[in-house]
Amino acid sequence: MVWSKKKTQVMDERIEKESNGLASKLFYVQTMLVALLLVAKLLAKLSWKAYLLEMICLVVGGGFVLISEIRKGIFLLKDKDAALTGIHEGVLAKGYSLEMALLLFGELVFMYTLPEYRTWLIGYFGAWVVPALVFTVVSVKKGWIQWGSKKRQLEGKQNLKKRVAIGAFAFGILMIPSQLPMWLVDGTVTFMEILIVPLEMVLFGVLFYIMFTRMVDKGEKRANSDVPTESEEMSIEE
Amino acid sequence: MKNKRMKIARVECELTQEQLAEKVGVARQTIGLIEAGNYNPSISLCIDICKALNKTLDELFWPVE
Repeated sequence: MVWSKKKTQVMDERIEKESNGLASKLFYVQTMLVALLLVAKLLAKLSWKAYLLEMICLVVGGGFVLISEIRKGIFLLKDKDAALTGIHEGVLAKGYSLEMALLLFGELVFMYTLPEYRTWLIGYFGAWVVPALVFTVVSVKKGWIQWGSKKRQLEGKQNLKKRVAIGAFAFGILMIPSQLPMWLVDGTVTFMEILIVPLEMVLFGVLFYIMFTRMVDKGEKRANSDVPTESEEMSIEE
Repeated sequence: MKNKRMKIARVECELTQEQLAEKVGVARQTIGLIEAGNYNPSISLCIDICKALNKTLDELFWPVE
């Protein structure tokens, strides 16, 4: 995979292969959690609207994997060598990302369009957070998340600042409708209520930036501890 | 098996692992792992490394008996 300067961390073929291996397993975990949520909603006899997102996730995610594997000619192939396993894991990893994106976007839509089922949001949250946490922790531990070099670290941090600012702004926009009912019920908008959204934006942005840079720095350290730098290697050889 | 030929070629080009990694678009650790013989790169990465170090595939990656 060609390195893109716009990316915040390096992703090379070795890292991609290793992380695809994990993501492919998490695809099954995430799909299973979504399926369990669907069963729970069916048992609770909720309206079809309440489990539309689960259906979309399972059909789109599963359909993507199925069609991709058939197109690549590896569907239900029993004897997969290292190369075919790599392709298979790559497809499942993409399926995992697709399902996760659907869950994230769908969760937001669900939150605003079906307020009567808000308590069920925790299910969606759990379905993507659990695999995402596992993936993040393992990625840091294995050093898959890293800047790659000093130059990339500078570029990456600059890029991250811009992205976090956009993300914080989007988060603020999403937060305004959620605060509106409270303000309308009050009848009066206080100074603190006007301040709360920009404060949330700044807090979210700063926290995310610190958290992400620390995570990448830690990943970099882990990667360097696994593969000594040249100067360290020379001192070992001496 | 360690790939000393690649390491020598890189040093001859006056490149550090980090600089070579930058040129071919991978992490510094991947170059370190290839040189240490702990990672088998794909053919496309081998070609990129050869181009960056002005060598042929045979010169860098063909096993010498």
